[in-house]
Amino acid sequence: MVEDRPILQLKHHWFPTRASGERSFLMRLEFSVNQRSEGNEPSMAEVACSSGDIERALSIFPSFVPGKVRRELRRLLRPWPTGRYTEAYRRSGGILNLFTPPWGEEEDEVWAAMLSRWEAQPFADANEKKAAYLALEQQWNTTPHPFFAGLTPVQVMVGGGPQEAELAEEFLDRLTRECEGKPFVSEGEALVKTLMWLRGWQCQPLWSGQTPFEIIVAERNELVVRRTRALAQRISVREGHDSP
Amino acid sequence: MADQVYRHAHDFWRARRMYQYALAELPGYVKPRYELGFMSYLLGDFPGALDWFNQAAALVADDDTGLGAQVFLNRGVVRYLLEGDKRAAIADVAEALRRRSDYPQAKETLRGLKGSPRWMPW
Repeated sequence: MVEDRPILQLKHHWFPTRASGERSFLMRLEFSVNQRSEGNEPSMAEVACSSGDIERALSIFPSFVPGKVRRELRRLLRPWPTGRYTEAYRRSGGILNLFTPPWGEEEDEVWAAMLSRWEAQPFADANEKKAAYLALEQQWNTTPHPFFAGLTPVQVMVGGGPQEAELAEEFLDRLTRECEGKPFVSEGEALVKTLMWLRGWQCQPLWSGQTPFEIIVAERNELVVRRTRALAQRISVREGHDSP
Repeated sequence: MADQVYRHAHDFWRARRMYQYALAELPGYVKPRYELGFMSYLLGDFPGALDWFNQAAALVADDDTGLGAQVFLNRGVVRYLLEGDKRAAIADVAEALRRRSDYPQAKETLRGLKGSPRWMPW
């Protein structure tokens, strides 16, 4: 008799810290909102952007998907603010940032330095000062950040795509093979070792000649372009430009 | 103490503040610069790491066989990852070995750099 029942494969990964294991869940959700389904249908993120309707984007999920997952997805699909993307502090940053100990505004030396330069500048009036501040926020959004492993906050906000998902899986498989069951003096030691491997791995050219870092950045840039296109579609529909 | 804070308790941000404080108090000291460089490397900030390692290398005494060797080894690795500058990387690792001939990581790195065209510290 032929065995035709579906096979459930369970996979597990080793993580150096609890925080990184928990963040991997968020990373996977970020991958899923950018995943296009078969037939190259728009991703959840594109549906949310082009329609402005998060619930419509979420409707592809069956009703049994846990509330916690839906809440996180709603947060990921929310429209981005016009100013500084502080929400980037609460995104995973993908595989390149998976193990970085949590940080936020308080630790952000880059923003603090930008702000103190702005404060020290002379301005003709309040309007000029405000305009400079708004420009500063945009500059922060689009400048590679040293604490985001060189990604810009925009690239962090958009999340990773299928290529990064595959690379992340490959790295985590390899890390699990190397580290599972091995004794470490402390979680800190395990974390330092993991980060050393990650930084070597991200620079290692693959068969295509590109490094994982280059692939991840290029894919995130492409996702930003798609997002902008989806948003433009919504605006043009709202303004009636789509009408024949 | 800051070493323990991040290498064992993985509190990078507290350790970072501690090193910055030490740097302000002891500007001629190599150790905080080296550790800030290493932490930058771990965070994936290679340009920042290279900057700290360059500062540390400029301050390290010629007869410093411990920390001095670590500074040059790590600067070599970051130079290679960031700029692909194999020659500069080999020179730095050789300098690390001049300072400490029984340095296993430096020996392994030098072998890798000289041996494989696509060596990476993995």
